[in-house]
Amino acid sequence: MNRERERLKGHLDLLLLSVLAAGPAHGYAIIMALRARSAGTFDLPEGTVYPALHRLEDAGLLTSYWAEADGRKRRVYGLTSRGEAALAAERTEWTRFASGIQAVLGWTV
Amino acid sequence: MDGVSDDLVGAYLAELRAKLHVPAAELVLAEAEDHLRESVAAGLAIGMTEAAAQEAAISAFGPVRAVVRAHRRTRLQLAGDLVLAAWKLGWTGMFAIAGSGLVALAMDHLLGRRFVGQAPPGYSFPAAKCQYWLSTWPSAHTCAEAAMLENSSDAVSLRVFGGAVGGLVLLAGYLVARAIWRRRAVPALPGGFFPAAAVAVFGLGAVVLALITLTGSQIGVPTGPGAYLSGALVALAVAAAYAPAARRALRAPR
Repeated sequence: MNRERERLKGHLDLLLLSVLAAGPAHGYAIIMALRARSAGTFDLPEGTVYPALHRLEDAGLLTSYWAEADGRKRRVYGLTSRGEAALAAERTEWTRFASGIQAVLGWTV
Repeated sequence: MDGVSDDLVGAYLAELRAKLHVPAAELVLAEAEDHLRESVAAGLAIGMTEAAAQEAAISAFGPVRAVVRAHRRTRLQLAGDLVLAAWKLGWTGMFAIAGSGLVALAMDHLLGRRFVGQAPPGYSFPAAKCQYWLSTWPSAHTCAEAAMLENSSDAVSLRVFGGAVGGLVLLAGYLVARAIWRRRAVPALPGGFFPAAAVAVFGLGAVVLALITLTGSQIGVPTGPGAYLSGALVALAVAAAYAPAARRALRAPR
């Protein structure tokens, strides 16, 4: 479980960008979407995902704004054009990497 | 039970507030509270009790120490980003030097070469230098005139060539280093750090060069006021160019 968690952490940026490709969302919705799309594989402590969102925003790949929800402040994130380009580039690289690994291992998923 | 001891999320957030020492911690806590309260609401919606929903939300969010650790930038990330920021200041500065050479050239044409190259009255140059300059500038009638032509020429050619070449070399190295570093680490410094640093460095440079110009001080080879004023103007322009981004970053909630 620890190795799987470490692997997930290594790809967290790509996973977050991928979820936000569907449209802007706040942190809780992003994390729930990650969990749903990974069929429960994604189980990092939810509070540890927010620094990754903040860093992606600092890198210019995400943008955010504050909204109001149920009387609370809510931060909503969305992809910037740079984020979209970065996601497309990561997708290409991931496909090439996965194909290469699959070719060597001979495993099918 | 009273309302305070029932609010496990409130107690969790209080502990997180006490231990989280990051910029804009209140905004981080606001985000955490929104997440936890929504998680509790989701638990209540599927039939959990209030206490069970709060415990489940906190458990899924993670222990306070894990959340605090996740927000902490590593020293290596910070050091790498500081090196990149200094490198960027370096090539920006080299291009600014090249720009100041072009400003000096404009001053030569608009105000005369004396404004940039003329040494203060009464200054006497070493004989060997005079001999060299007079041989380089045969149109000059005196050593002072030859020195003025040499200084104003250097103020343009050395700055433009040296600044451009140096800037390009530093920029090329910076782009390679940044590409390599970004594969290993996302930015650890706030987004407004570089604009603020640029405003500070180039603003201070503009002030120093302006003071040198106004007081008539000399550093190194004696020259006219235009030699320092051209630098002050470009430094001021660079600081002004970064000022809006620095102000936006300082004002923006994080």
